[in-house]
Amino acid sequence: MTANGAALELRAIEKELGGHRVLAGASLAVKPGRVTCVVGRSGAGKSVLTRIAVGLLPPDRGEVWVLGRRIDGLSRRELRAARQGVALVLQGAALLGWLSLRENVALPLRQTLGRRSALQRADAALAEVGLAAEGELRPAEVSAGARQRAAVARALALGPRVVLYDEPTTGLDPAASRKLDQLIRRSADGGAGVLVVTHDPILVERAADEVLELSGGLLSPK
Amino acid sequence: MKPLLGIGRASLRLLRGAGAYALLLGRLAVAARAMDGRELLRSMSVAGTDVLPLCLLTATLTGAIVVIQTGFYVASYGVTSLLGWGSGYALLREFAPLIAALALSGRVGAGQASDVAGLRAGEQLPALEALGLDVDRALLAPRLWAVLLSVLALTAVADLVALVASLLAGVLLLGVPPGAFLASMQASLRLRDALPGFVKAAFFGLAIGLCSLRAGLSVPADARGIGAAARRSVVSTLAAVLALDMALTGIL
Amino acid sequence: MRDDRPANGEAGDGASGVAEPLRAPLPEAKESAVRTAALPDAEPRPNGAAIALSAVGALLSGRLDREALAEQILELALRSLPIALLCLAFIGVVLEEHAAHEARRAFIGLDQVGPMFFQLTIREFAPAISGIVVAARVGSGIAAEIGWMAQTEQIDALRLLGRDLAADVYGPRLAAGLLASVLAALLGVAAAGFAGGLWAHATAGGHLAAFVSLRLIGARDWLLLAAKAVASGVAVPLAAVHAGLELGGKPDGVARATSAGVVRGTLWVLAADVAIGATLWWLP
Repeated sequence: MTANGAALELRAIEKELGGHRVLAGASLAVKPGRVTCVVGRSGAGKSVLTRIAVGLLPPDRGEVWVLGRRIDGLSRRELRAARQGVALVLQGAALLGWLSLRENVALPLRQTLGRRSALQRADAALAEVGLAAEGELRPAEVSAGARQRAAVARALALGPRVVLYDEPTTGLDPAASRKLDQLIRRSADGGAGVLVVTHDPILVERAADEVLELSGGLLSPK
Repeated sequence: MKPLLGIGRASLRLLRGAGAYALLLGRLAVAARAMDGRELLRSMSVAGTDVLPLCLLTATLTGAIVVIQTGFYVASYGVTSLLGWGSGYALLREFAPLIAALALSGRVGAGQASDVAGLRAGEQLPALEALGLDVDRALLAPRLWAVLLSVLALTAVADLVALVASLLAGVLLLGVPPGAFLASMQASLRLRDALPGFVKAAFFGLAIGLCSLRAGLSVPADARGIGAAARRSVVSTLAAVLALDMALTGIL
Repeated sequence: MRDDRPANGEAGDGASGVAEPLRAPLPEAKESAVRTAALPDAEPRPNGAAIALSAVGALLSGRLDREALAEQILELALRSLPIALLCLAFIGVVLEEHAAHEARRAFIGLDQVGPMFFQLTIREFAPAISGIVVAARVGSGIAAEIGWMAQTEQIDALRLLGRDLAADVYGPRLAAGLLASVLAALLGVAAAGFAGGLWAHATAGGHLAAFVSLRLIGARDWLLLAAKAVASGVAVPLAAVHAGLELGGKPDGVARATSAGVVRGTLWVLAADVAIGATLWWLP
């Protein structure tokens, strides 16, 4: 943890992309067990923020602290080690089309566990998101909502202490979205620090402990 | 001055390109030690079965082409006894591996490149990377080595099919007695004549794998990038295979 | 792929600079295009033979869009030449290596084998390799572009706007593809001969003419070269247009069309090679 007890902390992040200043000194701190939502109109740089927070994009200036470790400027290998305990769920689920749902969930686990125990953990994680019966199906054979929940299972199966969601409910029908609200809330109740980037007001209302607005490249409480 | 600048810029670009390929190869060679075996098998079965019909067809046509060309000479010098040897030798050493690689660079190269570009456009690669997965080991290295192994295996098939096709074409198209053709093949063709072909095939496979992965990794990660990756991969693998052919023919 | 002149009713699909609005279609036409484009394949897509015939018709009747033709010639024929000539130069060196090897083995001078290999270059290698390069470069370009147009329903929109696809879209590409193939094969002979000859000069101490010699070359060789180059030039762009139309509308259509365009083009090049070679064998 950083000095103020945050699981994830961004300090004065600046980022320019394609000649456009997307972030101009954005700061935030996500505390364990709490859900922080970042809202803002599309194109405000919300997705850039999540990518910087997990080290997929380097910031031009500023510091990224994850679980007490500064991760900006690390090498690929160091980053991989630093990402233990961090999970990211993207808008489109981003599952591999040729693997079944349980194999998709088991894939990141297989690096550290044997195949069999990885699959056991995957089954448990799928059961937790309500997909126990769909494990053998391919992503294309289930609904978009189920795909998104499988992506959540893939992230939560790693037992992360920081979870980031990038527009998790975009493109889902209301019923599927509300299931995700619960999952997001539950992942924080387990003790993880959760950052959600979204423009879904119902999700914010039902899951957020704290809401920040991203506008003009800066984050401010809403 | 201008042409000089152009040459300078082009050679810089070439160097930078070569460096990028070397880095990618190094990265994936390191990752190969702990790569995902199931993904390797899956990629091989995709690369292999996907292109087997194409490989059989090109090998058949190549066998026929070589025997016809050899036939023109053999007929004008009247030494039919050399037809089997001549076409067999040319096929094993030069043609079967080259034409197989050229055809595969279209199919496997384009497929692989658009596949990888698709994984970037669909955000699978960044998503998995953000979960701490080593995508080199899990997804990229298996693809590279699967192409290499598939090209080697397909070259063996292509050699065999092309030899049979050249025999058939010799008999059916040119009217050479099959006994004479076979005898000429048997008398002077050794198994080791196929060896240089396999060495070439290994390099070709590596080139196809590397060029297609690099094409897939370097295009913009969106829907249009997928088509661009396929096109870029086809052209760069083609040039790489022919350049390697030139370099290796001198050495082997 | 910068050719976006055909009118496109539904621009603004966000794809960077692809579907720029072109010669402003009429508003009502735009509407009808959008409405009917939603219907699955109301009109069957033309097959290869029909495309070829309509393109030849457009060419002969002078309806071919000049501007599109010039653009395609630049993009497909001229921009393909560097890679084609480079590949042929590589092949020239390879052939010279083989010739030198044979000469050493038989204890004869390079000038006794070299011309034979140069003859082989004209008959076989220049047309076959340039055909394969054209299939890769021109075929992939056409298939990807037509595939993209089919995917974004530009083809349907054009058809509904009453545009002559043969004159505006297919014809220029087929003509430019044919030109690309013929140029690549003819200049390819020169590139291969020059590279092989230089290589002979540099390594085997022979002079240029030990490899590049017209001593053995007869009318039959030039005929083989010309026939193969023309056959490839017709088959490759046609296969590519066809692949683009057929596969472009499917999921991952552009990538599949590209790959199919290249592969089918390559197969046609090799098949034409066999057929033409065998035909000339039987001719007196």
